[in-house]
This record gives sequence, structure tokens and C-alpha cells, in this order.
Amino acid sequence: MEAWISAVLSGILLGLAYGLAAIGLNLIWGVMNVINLSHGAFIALGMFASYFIFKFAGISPFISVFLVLAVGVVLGMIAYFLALHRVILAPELSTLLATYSLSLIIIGLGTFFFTTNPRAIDVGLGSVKVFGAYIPKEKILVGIYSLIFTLLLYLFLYKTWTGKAIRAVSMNITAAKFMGVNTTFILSLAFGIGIALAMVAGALIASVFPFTILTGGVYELKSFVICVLGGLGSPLGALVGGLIMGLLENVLTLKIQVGYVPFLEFLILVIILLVKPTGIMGKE
Amino acid sequence: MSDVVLKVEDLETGYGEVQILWGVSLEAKKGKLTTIIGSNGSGKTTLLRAITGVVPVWKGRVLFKGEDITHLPAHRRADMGLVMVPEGRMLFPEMTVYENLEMGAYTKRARAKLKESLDFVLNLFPRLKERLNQKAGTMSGGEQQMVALGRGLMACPELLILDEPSLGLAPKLVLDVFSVIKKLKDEGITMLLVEQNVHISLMITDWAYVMAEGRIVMEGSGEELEKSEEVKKAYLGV
Ligand SMILES: Nc1ncnc2c1ncn2[C@@H]1O[C@H](COP(=O)(O)OP(=O)(O)OP(=O)(O)O)[C@@H](O)[C@H]1O
Ligand SMILES: [Mg+2]
Repeated sequence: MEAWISAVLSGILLGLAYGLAAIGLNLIWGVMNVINLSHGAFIALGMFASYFIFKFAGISPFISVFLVLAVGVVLGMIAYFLALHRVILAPELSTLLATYSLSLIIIGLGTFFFTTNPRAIDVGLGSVKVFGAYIPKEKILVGIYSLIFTLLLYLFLYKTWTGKAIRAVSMNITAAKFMGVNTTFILSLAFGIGIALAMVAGALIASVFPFTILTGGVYELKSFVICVLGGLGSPLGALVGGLIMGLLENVLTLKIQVGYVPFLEFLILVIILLVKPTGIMGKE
Repeated sequence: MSDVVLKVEDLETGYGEVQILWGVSLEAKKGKLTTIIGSNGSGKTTLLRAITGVVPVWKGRVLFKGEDITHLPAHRRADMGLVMVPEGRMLFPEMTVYENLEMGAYTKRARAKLKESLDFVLNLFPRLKERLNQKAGTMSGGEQQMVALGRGLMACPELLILDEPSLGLAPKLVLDVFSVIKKLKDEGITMLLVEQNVHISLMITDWAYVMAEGRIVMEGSGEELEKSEEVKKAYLGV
């Protein structure tokens, strides 16, 4: 019984983090029509940022995550101007290749400098007993932080001028220009925020699971499945998709080997694409 | 300062390799309603896109309030008060009516007057008052046109450009749109109008241009053009 409670709680808490990562992917798709194949690489970068700050400065991931957020936005904006700006109006294949090259560069450099040895951050906060199950405090913080970041993003997108401009650009970029929106800035900012969310999700997850520079790929796949599950372009859908994903993964592994999880995720992706291509929460 | 708000000089542009405009010149004067008529595909929308900066100008100049804006990005032109109500309305469909109006007042200068502008717009279109929280994409064509006009007015325009505001509307609603344009004209708002409803447009306009195949082929006061045999034949179907 405790195993089940633990699995369900872990599923919810981690699912929120998966959802957060997926929202980053979703935002970039929704605003820029770009499928960001560097998503996983940036998740891994977030993990390493968190790891090195913890290792060398002794700062907890739950504090440094705000720095990761800020750095992520800036890094993402720079990446936009380096890799995407010139091809943003080109057919989708060009932007796909651009983000893929970005991913290859990051993973290549990462492998060179960080090797592919597994690392882990041991924050050592201990556990709390919930309904008889012991849950590491890190997991609880990951869930809470993910919820808070999601909420902050929502407030930003719906309550600030800049956030509204991002939404306007996602709906009609020409009209947004007529309103006086600097669309180049907004596109780069949207990419920056999408990247920052990926890095933040990575930084949080790194406090729970070990990782290498290649780990991002696993979470990238999860993000894609979540986006398809929840409906591309629907941030709320991404959150729900994340929860479903987290729960499935944690509950299923009670019965089957962990190694099958990616296979099952992929299976879900295919089934959803066949049955309801717009996603569970997506529009027709 | 002279009373010419917008001056277009020998403008040439197109898409890719295809040239659409072949040296267009025109003026819009302060407080006046200037109208461009012309058949489908004559390049009216393209001209407005070049004026607002969403297609690049190949040759010629665009002057706004005396300043050369030919190569200014579109959003900077909006900052200056050059406001476009585009063909097909181009609302933000997933935003509420209120948010659409708010986006109209996005520029710094318009933001400062958001409340007054909103009062003005809701006075002009009382029906929008109950619809403020409705998603713009779910409204009828006529209502959407009101939102589009309202959104343009929220920007405190120094020049309000209207690209076929009556397009696709029922005859009754077409008249409503024109009565709004007339009201705005009486308010002293400078406007540049592109229209297919030649007869009504010429009745209320101060000055009009006729465009054909990417060129201005005729200009004059509304009355003059309405009497002109060519216009009668080509556009009024008499
Ligand atoms: N984005 C585009 N790419 C290529 N050609 C275009 C584009 N937009 C318009 N054109 C072409 O430019 C020419 C002029 O079009 P434009 O839309 O300016 O005409 P218009 O006078 O506004 O017509 P309408 O009354 O139908 O709105 C047309 O031949 C059209 O096919
Ligand atoms: Mg047109």
C-alpha cells in the first residue's frame, strides 16, 4: 500500500516538473511555430548548472534555480539570434534543423567538457511521512516549485503588457506589429522563456535523479508526449499531460521494469496521434 | 508644420520578384478623409502594407508627419501614431474583446490614455460593453469589425488607415461602418480609407485616388470623381 501511495505522490510531484518542461516546448511552438529540438539539451544544461553551483558554491538547487531561470532567458535569447532569427520565416524544416544543430553543439561540447559520467546532486533534506509513505523532501519541493513557476508564467502571460504581446504574436504576428509590438524582441523573448523553463525543469529534476549530458533526450521525449497528450499550444493541457505522464511512469514501474518506460511513452504518443491528434485538451 | 500627415512619393514595391506598385504618390491631409478606390488586385493593400512597414519599399519614400519613415520597422511607425485596421480584421481570436482593445493601446503614448480611449470606443460601440469578456474569435463578422475599429482607435491614431472595413458585411452593417467613419471624420481624425463601396465612399470623402494595376490613375474630390465617366463605368456600374 505504501508503495502505491509513494508512487502516486511521486508521480504527481514529478509530473508537475515534466509539465513545466513541456510548457517551455509548448510556448516556443505556440508563439514561433518552431519545434525546438534543442529542448533536451537545454534541460541537461539546467541540470549541470544546478550541479556545478551546488558543488562549487554549496548553494541549494532550490535557491540557484532562480539564477538558472534568469541565465536561461538570456541564453535562450542569444541562441535565438544566433540560430533562429535568420530562418524564422523560412519553412519549418529550416527551423527544425537550426534547433537540431543547436542541440548537437550543446551535447557535443557537454560531452567533451563534462564527459558522460553520471552525476547526482545530494541535497540531503531527508524525507517526510505522508499517509505512511516516505517521500524525499526534494521531490515535494520540485512539485511545489514547478507549480509556482507555472503560475508565474501564467500571470506573466495574462497580466503584463509584455506577456500579452507574446500571446498576441502567437495569434497574429502581423497584427501585433500594427499594435506597435517589437516582434523580433518578442520572438527572442519567447524562445528565451521556453529555454529557461526547460533549464529550470532540468535543474529541479536534477535534485531528485542522477543525470548525464545525454539525459535531456529522455525528458525531451517526455515533453513531446506531454504536448501531444495535452494538445500543442495549450499550456494548461501541458500541465495535465505532465501529471498523467508522471503518474503513469511512477505507477507502471511498480509492475514493470524501468527500461520499458520510454517504449510505453512512445506507444502512448503513437496511440494519441492515431486516436485524437489534437490532444486531450486540444481544440479540434 | 504643414497639414500633410502622410506623403507617399513614387513608391515601388512587390513580393519576391513580382513588382506590384509602379510609382505611387499620394497625400493624406490632417483632419481629412482620404480614400483609395480600385478594383481587386490593383495593389491597394500592398500600398498600405508598404506604408505601415510590413512589406519593404523598393523605391520611393514614405513621409509621416514630415519624417522619412521609409525604412523604419513597423512597430516604430505604430509608436508614431500610424495605425492600421487591416483587411480581414486580424483580431487576436483567443483574446477577449477587452484584451484586444487593450492591445490597441500597446504603445507608450496610447497606454497613457487607455481609460479615455476606452470610454470613447465604448461610447462609439455601446454593444461592445456587454461583450468585453467574450473571446474575439467567437463574435460575428459585424461585431469583429467593431472590435477592429475600436482597437485601432485605442491607439490614439494620428493617421487611421482602414483597409476595406465593410468587406463581407451585410448591407445594413456596411451603412453602420460608414456612419462610424463619418462620425470619426467629424471628430477630426485623419483617415486613409481603402474601399470597394465606391458610391458611399465618394459621398463622404474629402479627396480620393483611383488605383489600377499598381498605379494611381486619377485623383480628385469625391464629387469630381463621382461625376467622372471613367469612374462611373469602371466602378459604379452605370
Ligand atoms: N503576400 C503576397 N505574395 C505574393 N503576391 C501577393 C501577396 N499579396 C498580394 N499579392 C498580389 O499582389 C497584387 C495586389 O494585391 P493587393 O492585395 O495589394 O490588392 P488589393 O487592391 O488590396 O485587392 P483587394 O481589393 O482584393 O483587397 C495581387 O495580384 C496579389 O495577387
Ligand atoms: Mg486589399
